[in-house]
Amino acid sequence: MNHSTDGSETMPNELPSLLANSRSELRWMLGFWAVLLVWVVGYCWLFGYGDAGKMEAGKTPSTFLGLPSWVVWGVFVPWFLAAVFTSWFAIYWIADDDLNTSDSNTSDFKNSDSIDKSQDGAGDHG
Amino acid sequence: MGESTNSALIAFLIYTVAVFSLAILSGRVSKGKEFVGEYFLGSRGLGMWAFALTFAATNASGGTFMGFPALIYSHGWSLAFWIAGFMAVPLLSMGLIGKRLNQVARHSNAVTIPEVMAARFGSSAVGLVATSLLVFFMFFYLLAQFKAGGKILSTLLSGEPMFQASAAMASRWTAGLPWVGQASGDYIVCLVLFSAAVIGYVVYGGFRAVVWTDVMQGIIMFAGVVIMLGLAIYQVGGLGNATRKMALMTPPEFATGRVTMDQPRDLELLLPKGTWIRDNDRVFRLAELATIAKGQTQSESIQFLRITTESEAIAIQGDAIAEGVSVRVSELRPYRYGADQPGVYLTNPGPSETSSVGFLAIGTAFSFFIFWPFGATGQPANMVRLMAFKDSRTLRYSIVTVSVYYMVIFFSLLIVFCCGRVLMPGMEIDPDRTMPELAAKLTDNAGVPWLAGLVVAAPFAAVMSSVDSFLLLLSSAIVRDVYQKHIRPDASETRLKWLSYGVTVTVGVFAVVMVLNPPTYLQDLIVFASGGLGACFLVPMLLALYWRSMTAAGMIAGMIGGTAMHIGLTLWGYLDIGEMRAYEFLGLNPFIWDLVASALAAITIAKFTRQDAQRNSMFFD
Repeated sequence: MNHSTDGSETMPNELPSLLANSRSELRWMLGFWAVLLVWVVGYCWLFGYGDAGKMEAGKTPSTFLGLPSWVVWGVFVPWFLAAVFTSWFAIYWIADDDLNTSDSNTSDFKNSDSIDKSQDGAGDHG
Repeated sequence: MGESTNSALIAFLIYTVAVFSLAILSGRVSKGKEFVGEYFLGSRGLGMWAFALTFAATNASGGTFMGFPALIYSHGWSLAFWIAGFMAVPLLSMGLIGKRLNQVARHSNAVTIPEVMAARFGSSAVGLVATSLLVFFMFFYLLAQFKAGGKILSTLLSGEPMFQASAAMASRWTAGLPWVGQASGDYIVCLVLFSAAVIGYVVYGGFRAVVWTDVMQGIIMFAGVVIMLGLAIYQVGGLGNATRKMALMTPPEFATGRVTMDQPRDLELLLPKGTWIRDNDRVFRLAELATIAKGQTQSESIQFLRITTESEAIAIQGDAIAEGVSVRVSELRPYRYGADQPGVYLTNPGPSETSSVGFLAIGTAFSFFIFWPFGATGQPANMVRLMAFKDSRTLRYSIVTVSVYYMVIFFSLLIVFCCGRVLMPGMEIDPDRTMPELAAKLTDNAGVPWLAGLVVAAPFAAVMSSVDSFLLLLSSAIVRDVYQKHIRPDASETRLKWLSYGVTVTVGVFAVVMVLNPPTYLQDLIVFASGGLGACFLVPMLLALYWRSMTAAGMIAGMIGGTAMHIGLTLWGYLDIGEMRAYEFLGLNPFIWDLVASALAAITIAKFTRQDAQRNSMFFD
């Protein structure tokens, strides 16, 4: 969705493709981060707290591959999967957008005078 | 540490030569290019490896290789949960704003972050507010990193006779001087060496030199921790063995007391900090120098560490120098959380000397999962790198590289320093020395002490790669955003060039003079500055790039709103606990409240202020 200048929301019509792609990618990234948050904080909260004081001499704690189980399933595995997802997302999902390498508008912004003058130009209310 | 120290010195010399070689090379490559764009942004031409490693290295400051290992050592596996938010750092900090920021910066020919913000809204006021806040927070950050650089170098070279002689000479020369005289000689020598090296190559090579040296530093960091990982797992007898031993550990106790002897001595007895004393079945480690004067039977009151883990107390032999010495304890201070609790190093919240709820309460862990990725996204030093990659493909593959890089680095650090707890007890007397001490121990045990030089160069490289970036960011803010924008827009290339050199040197020298006598609360200032930068820039930048209805007034409100909340919570914390620590409202990291305040202020003000349709059209249509 896109805000028009009168404050209402309209569907994007002629947005540059990079902006549209970046917005879409941003939503996916935030969604992915939320999944990680639920998994990591949820798992570690449920299984990573509360064993202190219960260890007896010679008794082995719950481990996986020699590491505490909560570390493996609550941190290392999601971290590894996050790296896998990140790589897949970066290689196959993030668009190869043009960055305006041959920009033509650069001279508009080279000094503060031009900035201030343009600010005084026509505008509208949000 | 004899052989290891020599190795450290040789490694440092090789390292310094390599850094300057890269700076000279980059200076040659830069010749003939437009000065400001090249000096502050490398002509926006960074390829995949350069971009990925400069991004990774800039993020990994001295804290990653000195502070983080010390925390792992002191609090055990709870640090895995504490740092877990870093798994999202590569994707979020590079992906959320990377392409869009790069595009807007190119479109507006902007070289600095304040310049991007000013150009997006056509408002010099936005640029000035951003520059002021950036310089304000960045300077605290720079001070802290300079101090860390001096300290790390001092640790690396501490056993080298030539260095000790130089330090003693510096002490004599500066003894009577105001301000400088309070600093120790070794610190002064190292600070000057470190600062001269960094300022030198930044001035000579600019952004390109910073990036190229970052690449080398990133490789050194990676190689250092991977080597340590292999050595640590092997020497501890496997991960399972390390975990079983950690399960039996209980936190040590801090103690105050005196060292005593049965009979007066003919000669003075000096027991250095770190000396192990076995007193029947009790084992102590000196946390400071103990002196029993000639003809006396006891020392002044000093600080000790008492080992409480039974298996360690049995295994540790007292040092020969302390034979016949016993300890009279006057006060014991057990940990406030975790004392006498076997297994506390394996689980959350982890032992804590000062907090009755442990090191990592769930609210704190939740906060850090938000803080790491979003705090990194809001750091100007990261943002400016996002303006420098050459195309989208470079960004995509750099995200992959940084993702793998951080995973390997942090997994390795966690495992290495948990093994370090087992291999090297008693480091609670000086946790910041855990990294160099463990590096020396692992390589000595493996019969390859020369490797210690490479391993201990990692934290040094980490600090250097952060300092150079911050130094350049500060000088670009002054030269580009203040001088060129507001004082002399028509300044010639030559004038800008010499001004940039002059400002970089002046900022660097001023920072060095400030940290010659650093304030005692400097560590708190680091937290204040890093949180403040994120709070100030993240939300406004996101809205500026993606929200068409954002306005110049909204930008200023967002920056000031986040900053005001940050300063307000810090003041609240100061009034509440008497320390410069931000108040954790509802048990959450203040960064979260800063972001909320910044977003509310920015969106509310933007809704009620005038948009610039022409500017919106330039950047959105």
